[in-house]
Amino acid sequence: MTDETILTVENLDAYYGSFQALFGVSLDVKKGEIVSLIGANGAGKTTTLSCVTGLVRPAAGSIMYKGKDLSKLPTHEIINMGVSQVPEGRGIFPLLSVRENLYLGAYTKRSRLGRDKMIERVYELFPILSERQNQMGGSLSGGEQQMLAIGRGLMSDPELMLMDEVSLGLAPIVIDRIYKTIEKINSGGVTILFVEQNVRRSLQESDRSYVMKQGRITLHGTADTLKEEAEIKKAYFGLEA
Amino acid sequence: MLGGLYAVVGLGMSLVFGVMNVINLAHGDLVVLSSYAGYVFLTYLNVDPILGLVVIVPLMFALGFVIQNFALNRVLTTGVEPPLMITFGVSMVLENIYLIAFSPLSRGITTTYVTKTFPVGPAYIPLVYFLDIVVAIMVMFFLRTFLSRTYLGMAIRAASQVTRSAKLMGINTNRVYSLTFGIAIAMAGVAGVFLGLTIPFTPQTGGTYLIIAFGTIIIGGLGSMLGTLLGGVVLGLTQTLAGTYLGTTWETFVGFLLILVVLTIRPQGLFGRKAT
Amino acid sequence: MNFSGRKSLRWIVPAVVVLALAAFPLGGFGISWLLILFLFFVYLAMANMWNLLAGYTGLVSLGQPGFIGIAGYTLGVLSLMGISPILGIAVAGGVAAGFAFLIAFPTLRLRGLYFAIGTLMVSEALSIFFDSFKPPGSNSATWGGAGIVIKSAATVSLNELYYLGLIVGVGSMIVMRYVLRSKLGLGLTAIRDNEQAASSLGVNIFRTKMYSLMVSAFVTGAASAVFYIFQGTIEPISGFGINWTIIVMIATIIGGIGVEYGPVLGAFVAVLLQQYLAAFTGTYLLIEGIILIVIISLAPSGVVGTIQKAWAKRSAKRKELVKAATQAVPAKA
Repeated sequence: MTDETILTVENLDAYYGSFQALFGVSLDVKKGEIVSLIGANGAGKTTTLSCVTGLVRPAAGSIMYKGKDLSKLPTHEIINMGVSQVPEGRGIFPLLSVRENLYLGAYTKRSRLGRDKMIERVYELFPILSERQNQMGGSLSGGEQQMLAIGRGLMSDPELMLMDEVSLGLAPIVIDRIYKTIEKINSGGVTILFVEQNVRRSLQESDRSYVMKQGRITLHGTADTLKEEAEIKKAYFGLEA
Repeated sequence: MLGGLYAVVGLGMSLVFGVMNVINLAHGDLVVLSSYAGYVFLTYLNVDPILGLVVIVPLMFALGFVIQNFALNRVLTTGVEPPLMITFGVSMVLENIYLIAFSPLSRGITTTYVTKTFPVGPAYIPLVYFLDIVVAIMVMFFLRTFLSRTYLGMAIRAASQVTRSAKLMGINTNRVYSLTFGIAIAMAGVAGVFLGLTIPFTPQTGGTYLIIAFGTIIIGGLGSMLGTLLGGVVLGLTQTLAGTYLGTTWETFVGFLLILVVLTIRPQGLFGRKAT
Repeated sequence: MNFSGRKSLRWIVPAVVVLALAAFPLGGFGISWLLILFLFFVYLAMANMWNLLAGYTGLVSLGQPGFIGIAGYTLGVLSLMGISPILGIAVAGGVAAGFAFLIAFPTLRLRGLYFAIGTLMVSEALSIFFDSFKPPGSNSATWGGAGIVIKSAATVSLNELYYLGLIVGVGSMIVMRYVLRSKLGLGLTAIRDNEQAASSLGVNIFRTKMYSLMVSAFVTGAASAVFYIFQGTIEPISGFGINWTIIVMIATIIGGIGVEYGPVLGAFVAVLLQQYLAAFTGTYLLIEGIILIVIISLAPSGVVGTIQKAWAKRSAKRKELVKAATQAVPAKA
């Protein structure tokens, strides 16, 4: 893990219609890190990720990545720069086969050549996907779909991967397995920014965390520094979200 | 017999609706555009309209691309009404161009060989009907192969299922939409020439084709290629039967009734998935 | 136009305008101006009703020609029976509303775009029907494609026609005002915002939409009847013609869908356009089509709508700046 910062989000404001979802959100991610974004439902975590990938246009602020301001670029260009997002709710293509889903992950020009190699890597990480490669995406179980979504996000050989609530609706054993794989992915050189509602899991799996509440960043630090915060203590021991 | 061509027209409309959730009210008029083009090729340039397809199809593709790219893409996010009204505007423009350029007279493309008849059972069927079916099957085959074997085809299918995820794959959804619309209109182009060879057309015929296209999708079901083909056949048959027993003036009306009936009792057609 | 604030202002300006319009024929401005205003009133009424459906109920209707044609034919038949034109207008509107009631069941079940096509087909079907239909015992030169004559047309003077138009036009604005502020209007707004939420709050979606459709049909039908008294005859291509749809669409679009005073501007432009382009036959609809495409592509909220939006944005920005200037800057993480 170097000290090089690859993503700098500065003073982001975002609206849904007239409703303001983000108020001056700022964060940064260094190369090789795993950073998490914690917060309750509606705190603005998904909105922040969506701004990075261009699905939501921020009203103010900047998102610097590789010297370019992502807040001004269309999504497909951002993906082509090496960013990948595993969306909330998985977002797999239900009527396409597992293999087609993965192929689409390698849609970008730079990843098409390495497609077959990447798909081997994904099958290695998630053997069950290899088993089910010809099945329709929609017929997979929740956990399998999550693996497919992550595998698909990996196919473009990204430098920065954004993951949104991968644990939603899954059994603890499955979640464990998935996070183990995420650790493997990270040790392979991919920088990760993930969103997670479960505070304990979040602090466990990340190098640093940002805590969000009602559209603002309220706390930030490593697992050790955050554990001392009263709010975190409460959430850690399940007393308050 | 025309069912196949009806299905081709219906497929084009269904493709656009499935991917962009836009109902192209000008689809029928675009079919007629290529009918007129074929007519022009034959009458003024002395070129066989089927050969003319080589020029017509790419031009139709380009036209479709332009319409989507410069008009429809701008308003896809502003709601369902604007795209509908743009296509309505296109329909108006086209119909009136035809009126001005070609007068309200009914026209047909007649080359020498299409009227040659072949005996099939008790009836004598003109060559053109066979051509119609062959062409229809070829177009559908190409479309299916394109959608399932090529990256672009996969991208189109992906965009029609989960748009947000398609964007996250690095797919330029706006360009995909433009290409899809182009393909749909190119298909309309093919259908137009052959329909023009088979039945006469006027500037208003676009409206009839629109209803027919819509009918094949309704009867066969949205999202199903086989369904649309069957829908076309059913519609074609019903119209022919109506024509034989009630007279040609009631043909279209009966077709309408069938569509309205299906809409009322089974909106998703024979094979369709529920309309989202 | 936003008359927020003074309640009295809300009524004074329109009332003055209406009085001025009512006094118009006395000013001796000439027949062509009377005709232009007459057409303006008719188009205004129909545009308002389309706006009610498309802008406020979320139903894009391509079936207005169905209401227009049916009302027109009803008027014709009634006039053949010797019934007075005023009564004829009311009955024509009623018949159109009744027709709306009938088609409400099959068409309202169709989602969004399907509804549009459904209404299109209904009006096309009517057109085809009236094209071939000849009631038994009728003279071969009438009905079918040739249409019928409106007997009572001869008994109505141009001035009277003007006032009939005025009543229908202004009436449609009043109807819009009233509907939007009534229980029906509240239901419509709820549906427009979130259909599921509205339904769970007890709004009967189907019935609300049906009433909206019926109101639209009634006023459209009345306007149509007034128009056909002016026209004197009605044929299928005219009564059920798609040109009505485009006129009504353009008139609404120019002002902006869902904008209350939008159709006023739009209907006026539509009439002027028609007069200006009347010399070049066929191009009128062509140009309207092009205008439709251009306006929607570039300004989907119409002229009035875009101005309103820009205004709202500017005032929101002002509020933002004021807030930022008077607040302490939050400490960065």
